[in-house]
Amino acid sequence: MASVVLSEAEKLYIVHGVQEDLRVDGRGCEDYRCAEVETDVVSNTSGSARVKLGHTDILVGVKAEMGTPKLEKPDEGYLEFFVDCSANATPEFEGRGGEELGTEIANTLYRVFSSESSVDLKSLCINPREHCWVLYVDVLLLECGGNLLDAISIAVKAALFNTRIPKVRVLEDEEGSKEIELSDDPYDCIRLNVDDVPCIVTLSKIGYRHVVDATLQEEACSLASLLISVTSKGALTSMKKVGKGSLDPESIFEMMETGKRVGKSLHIALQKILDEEESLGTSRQKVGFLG
Amino acid sequence: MPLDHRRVRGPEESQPPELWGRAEDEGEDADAGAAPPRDPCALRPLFCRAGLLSQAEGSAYVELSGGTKVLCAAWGPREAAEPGAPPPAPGLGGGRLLCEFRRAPFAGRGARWRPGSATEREAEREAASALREALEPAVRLARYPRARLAVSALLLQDGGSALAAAISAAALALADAGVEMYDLAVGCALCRSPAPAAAWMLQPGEEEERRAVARLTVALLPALNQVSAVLGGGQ
Repeated sequence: MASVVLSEAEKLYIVHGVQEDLRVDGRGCEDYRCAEVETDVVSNTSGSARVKLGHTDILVGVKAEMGTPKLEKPDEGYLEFFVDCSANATPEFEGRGGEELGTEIANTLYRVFSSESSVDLKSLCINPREHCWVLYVDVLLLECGGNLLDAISIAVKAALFNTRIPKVRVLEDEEGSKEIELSDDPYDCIRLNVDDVPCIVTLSKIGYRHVVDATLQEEACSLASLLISVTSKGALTSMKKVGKGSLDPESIFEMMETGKRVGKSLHIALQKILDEEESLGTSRQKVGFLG
Repeated sequence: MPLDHRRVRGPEESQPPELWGRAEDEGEDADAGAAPPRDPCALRPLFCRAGLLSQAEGSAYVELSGGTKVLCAAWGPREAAEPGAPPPAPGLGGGRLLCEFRRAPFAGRGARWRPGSATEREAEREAASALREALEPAVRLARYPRARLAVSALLLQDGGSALAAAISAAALALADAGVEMYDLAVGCALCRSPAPAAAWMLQPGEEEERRAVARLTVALLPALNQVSAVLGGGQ
């Protein structure tokens, strides 16, 4: 992650403030920064979303392509994640610097979505063992301002909600050659059900308390963080501890409870925004990248 | 290193025969029922031994009752000889712990792992970073400024709970090498089967892990009662 140099006095200030439930920008320990979510920003993709969470800026594009299903799961489609840390985000990402972070985030996303109930993969199947939809989810980090994974998971959920997969039928001729038939109506498409898609909540341990949505400065003060992914119903789909320090078992339980609570309210707020955007339809004003 | 000419990698399209025979096998398994349902919280026996390798400063071998065999070697401290690397940020004067996790190509039960393929390298890297996170809180890195401690784990056979066994083996190897540590990290794996309201089972075997809906690996520092790593997925 981008690093920030803090003096000891600044670190102490942040730690003491968190003990009193008061963070540097005035938030409480469980408040998120103001987030902007916009979908359908890139027209060449099947679905896209852009999330701005404080200084963190993420762009996600989903492209649906036809491919062959995996050998072990012949009647399901699958998702492929790719995370690109662009050099705009922070100077450390120039050249190959961001690759390690990118693969780490991609692995986390694979693990979060590994649960079978997150996305209905059977709806992505066209012909068992032969054709299926592969959703390539590409994440671009435009700006790194702390708490990357939360923003990425919100953007992925919004992009999947926005994804429109065209309806396709594969017909076989008498000679055995396959013909792909695309439906004529461009608006006739399959939408994904994202009710069970989880969102990641990062809880960083600072001093004796934990905070949600840490900025870069707060991340520099915390020794250990817990990453949990929560569905809208409050079920956990994955859990990972990051950081050099160790955690007390009781604090892990507390963090899990906080994470579930925060995750549920995050899902409700996100769903409301997505439904609002959807209902505006084509009359919605697109803010784009300069707004 | 894109192409490894020394190893015969096999044709790209090869598939193991088990894939096609799976439909009958699963039926048999359900009838014969794997061992009688075991007590979920029972600790299964394991074997560990330190000081096996002559070339490494510290080594350990852990074998779990499911058949998982992990061999781990530790070296250190060496000089952090990386001329191209940026100087460490102020405040991080301690040493660095480098972990490596390798799987033997014949370790898994299904298809042979293709050594050098991208998915396999990523899985190894993820396991290596999980190993490093579990060990970092336990090792007194401040005592080895500007030094490099290397740990390398080799998974010979995967019978369930591989990462947990690797964490325990790595901690033993570091202790055998004489590295100063706050505590020994012990790893334990749990999994939960798809049956409704199933209990969590300790140290699953390979069958149980494959059928599990949720898996979790926890690394604990027992004397300090601190959890150094948690990694899990599923529901």
